[in-house]
Amino acid sequence: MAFTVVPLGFAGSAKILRQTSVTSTGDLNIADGACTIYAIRVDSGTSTGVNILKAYNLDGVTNAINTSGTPTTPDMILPTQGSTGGSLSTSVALSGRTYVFKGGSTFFTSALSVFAFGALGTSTAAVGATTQYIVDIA
Amino acid sequence: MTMTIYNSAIATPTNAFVIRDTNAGLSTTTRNNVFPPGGACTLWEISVDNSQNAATSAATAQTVYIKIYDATTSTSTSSPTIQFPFAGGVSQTVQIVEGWPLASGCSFAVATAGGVSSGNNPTNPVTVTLALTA
Repeated sequence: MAFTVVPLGFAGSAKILRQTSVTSTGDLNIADGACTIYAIRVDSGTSTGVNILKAYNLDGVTNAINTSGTPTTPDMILPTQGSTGGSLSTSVALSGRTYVFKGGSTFFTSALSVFAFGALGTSTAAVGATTQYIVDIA
Repeated sequence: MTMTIYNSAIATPTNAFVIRDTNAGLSTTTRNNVFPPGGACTLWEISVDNSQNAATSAATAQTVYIKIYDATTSTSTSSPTIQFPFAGGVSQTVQIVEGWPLASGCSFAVATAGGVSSGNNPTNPVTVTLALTA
């Protein structure tokens, strides 16, 4: 499923980007070029344990993103928590995580491509049965 | 330059701390187990001031990555649990609304490369501020 773009209308190009099934296959260049990120919500729904979203300042086409072999180093790593299971000792009841970038992150000057994985670290394990989405206001 | 870490205890809630490192990255080692009581803690906010590595007539802007490790000891090639990039000249705060529990402990590094690449130390000091609770 491709990202859904919801223009907000009140501030130039401001919009929400939502994808309900980000996977290890990845979504490339979701903002169609450079963007400013104000917030990202990553929700792995009823999945078990920790999932992780990796973001790249690459479009994945002219500059390939490798997730296996010698993986491309991600620019941003955002963990999230499913609503069941997991070994986290605190906050475990909270599903999903919201990352707020005060003033906006202008780091993604080329493109924003995102991939979701089912484990922390360098694992490229696919996410489980999840409902994951990212919210991007640019 | 020597490492300069300050920590400020906040009365309420108990065991809430603001950790401030005004010289992050200018070391070949990570900052290990920085939560003052030690061990498990929850990370709520990260501020990174990379303004001293802005572009100048003599140098190009230098991007740095803050890498947070869920560990009491780590190295700059450990796989980070959380990572954010900051372009040269940028000073920014990232808030984790629900907090992120670090079950083992909070360690971090600041380097010119992300992921498991050790990268290099930034040319000039980077200031890192973390908000942590038990």
